[in-house]
Amino acid sequence: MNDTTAVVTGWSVVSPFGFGAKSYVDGVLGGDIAARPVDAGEVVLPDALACTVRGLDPAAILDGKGIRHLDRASQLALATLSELVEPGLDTGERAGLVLGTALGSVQTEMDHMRASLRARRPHLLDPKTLASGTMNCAAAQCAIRFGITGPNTTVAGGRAAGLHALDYASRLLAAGRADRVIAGAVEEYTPARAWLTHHACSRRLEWLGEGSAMFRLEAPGAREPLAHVLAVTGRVAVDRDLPAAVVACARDVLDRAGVGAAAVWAAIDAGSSLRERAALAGLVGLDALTRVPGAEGIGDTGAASAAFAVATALGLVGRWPEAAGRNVLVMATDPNGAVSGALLRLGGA
Amino acid sequence: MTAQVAGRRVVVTGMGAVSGIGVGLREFAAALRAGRSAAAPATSFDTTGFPSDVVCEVRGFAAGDWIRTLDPARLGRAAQFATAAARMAVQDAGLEPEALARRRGLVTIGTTNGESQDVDELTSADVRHGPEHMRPELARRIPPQTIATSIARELGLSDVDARVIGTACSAGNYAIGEGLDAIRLGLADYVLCGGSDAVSRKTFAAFHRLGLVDPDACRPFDAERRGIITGEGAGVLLLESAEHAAARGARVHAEVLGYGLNCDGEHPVAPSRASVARCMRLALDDAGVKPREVGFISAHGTGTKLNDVTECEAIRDVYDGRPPPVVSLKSMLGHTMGAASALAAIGCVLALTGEFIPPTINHRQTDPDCGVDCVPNVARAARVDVVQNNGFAFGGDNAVVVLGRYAGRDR
Repeated sequence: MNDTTAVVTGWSVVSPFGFGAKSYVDGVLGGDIAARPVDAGEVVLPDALACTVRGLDPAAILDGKGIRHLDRASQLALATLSELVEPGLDTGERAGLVLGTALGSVQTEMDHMRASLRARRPHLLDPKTLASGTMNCAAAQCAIRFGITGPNTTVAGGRAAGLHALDYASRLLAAGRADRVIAGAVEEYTPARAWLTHHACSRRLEWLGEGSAMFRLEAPGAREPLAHVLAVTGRVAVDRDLPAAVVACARDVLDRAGVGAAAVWAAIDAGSSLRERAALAGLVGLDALTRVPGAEGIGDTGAASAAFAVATALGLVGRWPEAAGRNVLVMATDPNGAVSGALLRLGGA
Repeated sequence: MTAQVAGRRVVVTGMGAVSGIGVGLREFAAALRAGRSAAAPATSFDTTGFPSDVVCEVRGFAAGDWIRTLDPARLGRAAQFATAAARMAVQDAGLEPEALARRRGLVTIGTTNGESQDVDELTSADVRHGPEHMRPELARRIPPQTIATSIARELGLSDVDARVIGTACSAGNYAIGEGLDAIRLGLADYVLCGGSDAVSRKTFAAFHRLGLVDPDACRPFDAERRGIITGEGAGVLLLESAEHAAARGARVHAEVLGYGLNCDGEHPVAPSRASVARCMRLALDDAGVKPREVGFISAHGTGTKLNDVTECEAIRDVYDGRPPPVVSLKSMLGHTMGAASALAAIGCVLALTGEFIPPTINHRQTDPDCGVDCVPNVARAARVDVVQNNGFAFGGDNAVVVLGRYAGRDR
């Protein structure tokens, strides 16, 4: 719902392909697949394979106590932010952070209840993990560890959470509440998420994945933009007709940006169903929809799905000369009926 | 400091409240004025073995009285509360949902724990029978965003962004602030914003583990205060531009004058006096209001030792040692988490229009380290023009909203 242009001037990811943007772009453009056997020891998993981030060791990146006791989503977010944050630029009172999530760290929440049911007394939870029990833990930890003391917001937006974060962050800039905002999304692979996704039948790709993608947003002018965020908007399929809502939402995005469907060079969907993809192809054309490789190789990254789609678009800047100055549409849908879209104009022209 | 956002003036034209002291706006207002308490032994979960059993639950709530399009049985408790409160707010605004559906909107709802009762039940199934025995319908509805999409689906609103703010116990104020900016900037014609949460065993256990639960009553600013009572409920406000409200001849409850948000960036649970003070200043600056214009402060006022003294010190810093009355609705409602600052904002508006200051109940003796006039136990008749509503959260996430009497002209 944002018509005021913000620009992306930096980004980073931690993905099953590795740490940092380069490994991610290499993996996506190379068609790599990160799925590997998963093993949670005595804990039973519904999956034989998953796309997990290996070698995550926040204590190696960040000093400070308590890092090891944080939930996995918070650790992934901290690792991602550490690759992006520039002290002074992205820190202090005029810097904000907006982080998208779907379920927070549902593993921590379920662990707390499990402890309550099993402990000698029902409130004897592990005190070291209490801070991870609310959804805002990852964003707050980012603020605490890096000194980002402007707006700090956690947005629950399902698969489109990264687009909700972009929209919310753009509005913070437009309202003058911050000079720079890092916006993104994070998702963890844990037994709790694996089982809940399994029971909800909400997995959209062959394997589950995890990771985090973050973007620095600011008003145009200060630095060479990697992309302009031309428009972000969402809607709800009240009649549950998601394909129709995808088309309506994409039209809204294009109208707001003042861009015709024929001028969409590439459309990237964050794990849509075949029917939704077909509907989108009807609007922007099959060429646009198939122009850029998908991120299937990192699996279904849940709350981070749309953020990774944005990362894919940004990853083309400098890699594919023909991408410079092009319009890229990112779409995400959720089983609860929410649909979001964003239009980016890539820099490098 | 924050540059004040130029743009449309934003007014509250509809409100809905689901709370432990009253379901429905009129009932909620009467209970605030009477100083009722929602505290009672828990019925939603088993408290055997806990150091206490008192919570502030919503009782006598029949979801079907408000939720018509959707099947209430298929919604979690937080989504039921929020959807009912949204329906109330639209009715209170004198609007037909069909009229709203033709306009561009935003549905933004704050929550701390989302469908925490469902998550607890899923975990119980896992512990007792194994993870393959979790109920699929619960797994499908626990993503917190579903609270916002349920409101949109119930009211038939398709042209909306529907999202949930997960910024813990100040999330209600975050949502109101987001709505304020969306209308000021012309990005939405109307906003349904607020907060919702349900009590749960897990939340009760976590606050007990932190040693932050008072065993019998929440006594903010009292010398013998011992902590919070966990609570539940939802508050939803309908915001629109003053221009839009005037064009349709709507009754205006109050104006949202401004808000501020920031992050301590210091400690996961202990609040920072300087940062909390900075957030209040951001909000007052954004509202274009001087501290001496504020008639009372609706405090975060959890009733914990640390929050109340830190908050009162910060208030004295901002108000140059002479703060107006500082009250805590949590004394009546319990700590309703993501709903807390939304219900408190509604309470502030009702106080503006009803010309009273809600009391801080359960009060015996004010802690000299707090040193505020908390309007002990009995509501006070007063005509105030501006109210400040504080919301703070674990993680150091602060949001403060400033509301004012709407006179229909520039202040």
